[in-house]
Amino acid sequence: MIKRDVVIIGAGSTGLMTGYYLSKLGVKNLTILEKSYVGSGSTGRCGTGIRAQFADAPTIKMMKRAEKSWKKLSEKLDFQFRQTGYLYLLYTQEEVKQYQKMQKLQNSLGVPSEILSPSGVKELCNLIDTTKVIAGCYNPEDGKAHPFEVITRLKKYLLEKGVDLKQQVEVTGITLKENKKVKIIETTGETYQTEVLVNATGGWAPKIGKMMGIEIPVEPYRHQSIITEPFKEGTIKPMVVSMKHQDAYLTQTERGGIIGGVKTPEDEPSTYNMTETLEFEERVSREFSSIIPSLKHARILRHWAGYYAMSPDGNPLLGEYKVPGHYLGGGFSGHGYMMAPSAGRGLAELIVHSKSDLPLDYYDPERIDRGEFREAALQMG
Amino acid sequence: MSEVTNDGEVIICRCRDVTEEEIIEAINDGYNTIELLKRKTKIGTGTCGGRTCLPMVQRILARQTGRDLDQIALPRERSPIIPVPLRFAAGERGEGE
Repeated sequence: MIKRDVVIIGAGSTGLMTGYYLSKLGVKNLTILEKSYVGSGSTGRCGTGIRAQFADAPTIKMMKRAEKSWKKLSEKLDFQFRQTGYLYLLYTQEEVKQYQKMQKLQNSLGVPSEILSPSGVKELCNLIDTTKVIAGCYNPEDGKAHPFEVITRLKKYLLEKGVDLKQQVEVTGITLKENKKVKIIETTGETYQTEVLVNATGGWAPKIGKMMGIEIPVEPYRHQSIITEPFKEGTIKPMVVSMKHQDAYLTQTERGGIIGGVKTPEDEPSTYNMTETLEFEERVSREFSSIIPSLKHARILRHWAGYYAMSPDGNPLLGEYKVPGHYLGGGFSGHGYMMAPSAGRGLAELIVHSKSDLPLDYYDPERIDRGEFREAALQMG
Repeated sequence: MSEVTNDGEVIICRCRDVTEEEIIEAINDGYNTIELLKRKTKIGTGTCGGRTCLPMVQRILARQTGRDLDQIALPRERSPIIPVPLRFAAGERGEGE
């Protein structure tokens, strides 16, 4: 049996960022367990976007801080955080009013979002059909980063710092001892003993919960994305979003393809099925071609699915939960990748200092059991 | 019979312009499955969907890691099987149809 100060289950963006900040706070005796390879679950399947344009103060604060961290990390770990902005296309007066209100709140928290005219929208991406667009909302600090690059650099950093990162090792059972303080973690490899366990398993978080005899209110919902053949760099710089086109989001990756998706049908139940559907391919193609007409000539190369790990109120679950020393970083409801630096920093600070200056009270998982639901964070895709 | 030689510039993935050398380098860096090689080097992510390069990558991987070919899993086939323009996926008809 190997004794550790902290064991993190899950080596996606949340697990590795938590490992990164724990290591920075001086935690050395640390193991990260990954059942497949780093980023294989939800991180590698995500839409790559990072934004602070949200409608509620806590999420804006978390994301403002995250964007600062993304920038610093990109320089330190050597990956690209391309701050090419998120551009919301607004088609009705009602939407404009809603986004103006959000923009004011964002500005008051230091996020420099601005309302643009249709010609301002055109300036940012001249391929957009602006005939029905009446305004845009744009934050130049938002951006995107290539998940595999990010996760590979994080892995390299952690290994260099001596963190015990194990891939292809699956947790098979957890036994709680000494009033649940001590956790014995059985895996397909070694057995670990720890007092602090971080559950960073995204859509799989309830399965780890079950091993400890607790219910975790997270449900995986399938979300699908496509990528097209590559085009000249700079073809679509910002993340272009339109709620009027089934919550569509699309942008160009650093490898040149146009990536993006639309929402999942509301009646689709929670599922661990990750098969892509023709229904989605038809819908995403129609919506994308309506937003950017020339895209109808672009060829789809691949189409895949991943999970939005939904919490009951659509907001993350961050903090110690139900078992002493069990820290949950989950239920991100589609925002796990973008929020990972703040979630990781917050969890690490909670574990080491029992407090954080990030608004973690808002994300306390026990709110759900108290029946205190937050207003769902602005979500698309 | 003349001997076939190369200068270390054997293109394996024609869509993404990836050489054998780059693939071997990635394998030596620990990207030792096709899934990982795909994400690291872009092999198999071009317009042919990996139909040209993946069997070759499979052989290189087997050779470099001393595994049998049948121990090297190919990535799952994803939709679409051939690249499809969005207008067709959206159900728009082509000219003359």
